[in-house]
Amino acid sequence: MTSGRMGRTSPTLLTRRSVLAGSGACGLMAAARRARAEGVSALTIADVGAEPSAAMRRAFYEPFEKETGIRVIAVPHAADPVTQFRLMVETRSYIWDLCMLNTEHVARLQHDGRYFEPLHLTPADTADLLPGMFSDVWLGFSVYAVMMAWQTASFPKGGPSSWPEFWDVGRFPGRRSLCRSPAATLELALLADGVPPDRLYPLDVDRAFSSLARLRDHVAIWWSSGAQNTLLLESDEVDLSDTWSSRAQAAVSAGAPVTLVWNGLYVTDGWCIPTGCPRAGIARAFVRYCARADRQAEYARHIANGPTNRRAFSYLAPERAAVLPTAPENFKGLTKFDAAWWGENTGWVAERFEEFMLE
Amino acid sequence: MTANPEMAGLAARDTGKDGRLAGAVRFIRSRNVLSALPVLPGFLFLVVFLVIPLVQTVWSSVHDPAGSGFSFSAFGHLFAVPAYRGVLWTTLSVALWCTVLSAGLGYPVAVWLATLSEKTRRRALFLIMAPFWTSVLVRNFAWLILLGRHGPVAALMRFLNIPGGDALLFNRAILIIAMVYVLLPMSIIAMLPAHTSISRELLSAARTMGARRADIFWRIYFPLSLRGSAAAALLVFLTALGFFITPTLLGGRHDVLLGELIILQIDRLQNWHFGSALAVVIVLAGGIAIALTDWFFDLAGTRPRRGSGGRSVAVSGLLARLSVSAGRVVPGFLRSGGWEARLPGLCSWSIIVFLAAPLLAIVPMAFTRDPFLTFPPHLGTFHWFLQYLRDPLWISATFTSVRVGLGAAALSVVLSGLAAFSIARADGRLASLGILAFMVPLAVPPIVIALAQFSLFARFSMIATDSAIMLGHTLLCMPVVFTILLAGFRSYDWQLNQAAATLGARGSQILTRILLPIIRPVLVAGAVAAFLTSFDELTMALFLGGGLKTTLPKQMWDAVLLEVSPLLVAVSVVVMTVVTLLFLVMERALTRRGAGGPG
Repeated sequence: MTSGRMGRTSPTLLTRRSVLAGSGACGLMAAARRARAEGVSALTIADVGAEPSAAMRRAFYEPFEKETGIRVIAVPHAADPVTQFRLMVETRSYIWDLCMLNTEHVARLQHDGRYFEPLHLTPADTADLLPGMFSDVWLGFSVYAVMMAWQTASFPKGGPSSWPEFWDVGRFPGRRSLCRSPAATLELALLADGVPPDRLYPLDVDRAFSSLARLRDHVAIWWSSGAQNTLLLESDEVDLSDTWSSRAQAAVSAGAPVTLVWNGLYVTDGWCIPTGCPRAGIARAFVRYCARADRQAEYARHIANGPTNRRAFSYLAPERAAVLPTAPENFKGLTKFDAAWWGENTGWVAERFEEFMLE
Repeated sequence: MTANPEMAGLAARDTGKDGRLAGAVRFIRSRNVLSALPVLPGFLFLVVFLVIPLVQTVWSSVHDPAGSGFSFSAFGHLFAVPAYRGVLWTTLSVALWCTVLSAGLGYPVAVWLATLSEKTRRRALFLIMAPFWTSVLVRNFAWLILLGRHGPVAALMRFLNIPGGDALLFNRAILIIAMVYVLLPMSIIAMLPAHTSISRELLSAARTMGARRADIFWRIYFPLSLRGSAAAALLVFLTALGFFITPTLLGGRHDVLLGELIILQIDRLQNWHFGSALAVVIVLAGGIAIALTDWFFDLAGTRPRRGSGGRSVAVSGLLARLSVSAGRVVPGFLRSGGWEARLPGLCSWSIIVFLAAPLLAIVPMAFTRDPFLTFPPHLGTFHWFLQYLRDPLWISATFTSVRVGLGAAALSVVLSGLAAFSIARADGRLASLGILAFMVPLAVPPIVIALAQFSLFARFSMIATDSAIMLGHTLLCMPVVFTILLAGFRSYDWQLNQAAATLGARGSQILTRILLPIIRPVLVAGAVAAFLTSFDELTMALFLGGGLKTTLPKQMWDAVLLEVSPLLVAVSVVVMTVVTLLFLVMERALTRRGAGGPG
């Protein structure tokens, strides 16, 4: 039925889109020419490194180099790049032209001042993007989920499928693990307490902590890095845990007998340009390039992060789409992580979380 | 050697400030002023890169950015919130436990090492230093695998019917064990010189004169080794105060240390005010520990001795009496034979096995065919090494580390070398103070130094540059290099210079033909030690790095954010190989000197 609707509407859309795509390509070539005329031969991009960086190289960096002749140098930024980004702008030492930031980083930086160059996106650039996946200074291209995972073998009759069930230690006994950070964990605690997903924000912090207090002594391990979380699942150290979708998916693909439950939150990674960046013109062209459906589909083939461009799914096989957070079937179980709320409240909530952990 | 400075010290104390000034003037006049000049560059470096940043940190800890001016609110907050008081208490108690265990276990090993021949001792030391050879991250992830509920230790415990094998991780005990694993070698190495320098003839003389074995140990050996061992224990305590990676990965919910809180405040919350206050608290705790240790053991050896007994001598006399009355608590090395003679050796070997064995488990994981870390691994591929060699990011990080290491080695050898050169020929209070000054970087945990230097480098837009990391590493390397070079210059026979001069050699000829060739092995050893210190350093790189090119340990840290694959172990094995080779170079340099050089 879906394909039928798509078949009916696509001819007209295609013509409009091919025109847009054509003008987009012209824009890209023009931007590249201008950049080369100014003596720019390379863009330096700070990303999260490791496997995502390798996927971005194949989906974005290399094709961009081929099409524009501008070299892309990728460097990994710190686990939390906010301090680096701030310093770079404040000292006006533009070691990066673009930086991969998630919505939470953006909110924290915007809370503190003006750190971003406007992207000047046109309606045509963003027509196919999912709602909330871009702003005037940020464009999301990669969605991951904070979701649930359990050892398939530990729950032969099926494990928990919702956060209230994850909290139910009587019905689902087993060794539990949760993230040692308030962001996202408090949301899960509220979901577990029965708060409907659309009423999560603004967070009822007191309620979240009292929900978390009920589970606290049943959590054997409070994990603190993504690698540790993955290792705990791979080595069967815990029976059930929260997890990040793409790493957990990679572990499952590598043979770890873990079941993933699409229930939780989603966070989007995207591009920002530091304000005052001398190569902002070509950096903007790169950002628009990363909004393209075919590029995002290629990215999602190499790493299990969800594209933000709806049309990317028409390039992907159904089996691949099934493991991506933004596939409609998975996306409906996820709630947007409200980075703006955390940008306002991180300080005192983080402190209260530390106190809570040490009680 | 001790009489003069003590007299000078007493004189200075009696005459007060003016007397001290006059003493300094006399010192400068009596020696050539020029002979003190070489100390200056190193001293200035310490002021610029350690003292000023620390003062700046203290300033931002009492200077509320939101409010107006001076306020102790950050400290008030730290002591008002029960959770933070708890962290402070946990940090002190974990550091104390680590100190007691590392010094207690390290002492018999040092006693045993001191009885060995030079060659055997170096080989044993090589094994003892095994924990240093692996990256801190790989080591901690290895603990997660080896002690996990499906790991080899749990399997062994199940086999032996010992309960609790599934809950080895994430508690205070395992945190302390993992910390002692790294701190114990440090403790042994630091206290060894105090043990090897005790004259064996002294002990046999005491035996000839009919002293009981317990008395020989407790009244002669123990007091003589006490000051050095106490200094080693102090070093362990100071280092333990700044730990943050191990507790994050292996500790339980309650096992949070001050270092982790600093990382949280600075890296995550950008709260420099409170972060600085925490750093100041660490420095204060360290300062109190230093003062207490010095009060008890007279670390610098600058205090005039009153009568024949100090506090430590009284303690050892008490211990001697206790041990004699308790029976036969006599270290076997002082006995002529029997099974007890082997006891220290046996103890030491079991400690060496504890230190070296995890390496045997880690190295094979670099050759695993599994996509993730497992134990036992399914061996049979060089895939991970190839992946490392093919990845430009890893290779560039490796070269950055080499560059930074070479720079830090060169700079610290020059700065510490010049200072050691002139201090080695001086004695008295000023020389002792000079030595102390160059040891100060050891007294401040790296995490505090890194935090303090961050604001210094930020002011000059030097964050994320190789130079910043290199300068930071130089500061950490200086005490290490200084110690090695000071020993080298002290054993140099300065009469050789006079002899050469009498025979008509010019100053430059003496330098290039006599001094440098003889001292060269020590310089090589110092440079290699500095390079090794820098090459595996993470904390500084974490704060000061993060630019276009990161160092190898920093690159490993960033990679671990997302996943820990066998690639990381492969990189660690490469580092281990490089480090081992360099260590052998250093050892060769030192042994050759021992064989051919003077003294």
